[in-house]
Amino acid sequence: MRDQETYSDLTDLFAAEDRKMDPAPFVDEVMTGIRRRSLFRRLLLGAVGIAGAGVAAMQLPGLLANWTGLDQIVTRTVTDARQDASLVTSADPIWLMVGGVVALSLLAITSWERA
Amino acid sequence: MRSDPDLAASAARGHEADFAELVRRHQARVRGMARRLTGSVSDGDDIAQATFLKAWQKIGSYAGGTFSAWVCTICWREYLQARRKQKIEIEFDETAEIIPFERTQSDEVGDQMDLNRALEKLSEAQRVCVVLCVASGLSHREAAEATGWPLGTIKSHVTRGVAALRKHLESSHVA
Repeated sequence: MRDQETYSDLTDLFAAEDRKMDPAPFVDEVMTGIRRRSLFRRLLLGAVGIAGAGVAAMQLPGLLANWTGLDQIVTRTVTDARQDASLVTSADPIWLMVGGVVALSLLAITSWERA
Repeated sequence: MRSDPDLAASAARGHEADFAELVRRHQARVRGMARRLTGSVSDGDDIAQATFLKAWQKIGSYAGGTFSAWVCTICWREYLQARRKQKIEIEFDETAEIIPFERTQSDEVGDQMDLNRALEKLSEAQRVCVVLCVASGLSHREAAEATGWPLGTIKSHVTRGVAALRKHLESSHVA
């Protein structure tokens, strides 16, 4: 503490210089950055959630058909769509890998990013 | 007026307005520190902005104590990271010459200010220690914790740096 008292005049000089800076634009810029990140995270979480819900919905007809005898037309349409999707991936398996990498990246980002 | 730890606790619960208040309170110190370390207004403000964004992400890990020391430690790390990106190694060498941070003529902070011009004449290690302890108001211990340098080394660099700074200031006033 005694050491710091020996240069308190210099500290005051630096502080006087710092006080000349206008805080408003800087604070706005920082808070805009924070809000932008937060919005991006929310959108990402929403997109991942919708994708997850879509995958879950695709599984539902098969599951429900056995239990409730759901309308066969609806069941067939969804099942066909699922088959079409799996055909695309089997025709070019690289898409499976790309999808896996994207899913893992999204998972990593959403787990690490703060709200 | 609410204390810094109180605002930080509220910000950790997601209250952006309270974090904005913390930014308002500490921006001058952090921007001053980053500008003096880089020697550039724009690079300094970029680092200060990155510092507060990182602080927002890590606000939950703030465990009380001096908020300014906590945020200045983040600023120091952001500065080192920015330097690494520029592939300039920071060497802890008393005799080292000042390493420029891609300064541009039009963007220099201290051209018109004796204080910053005198600061730039110090060796790298002395300048860092003077910026942290004298300009940013960190205690020697806080500066040692932030940089990872030994406490005795910080003290000696501050003492020598302050003496050199006074000498440069006096000579600039005489001239």
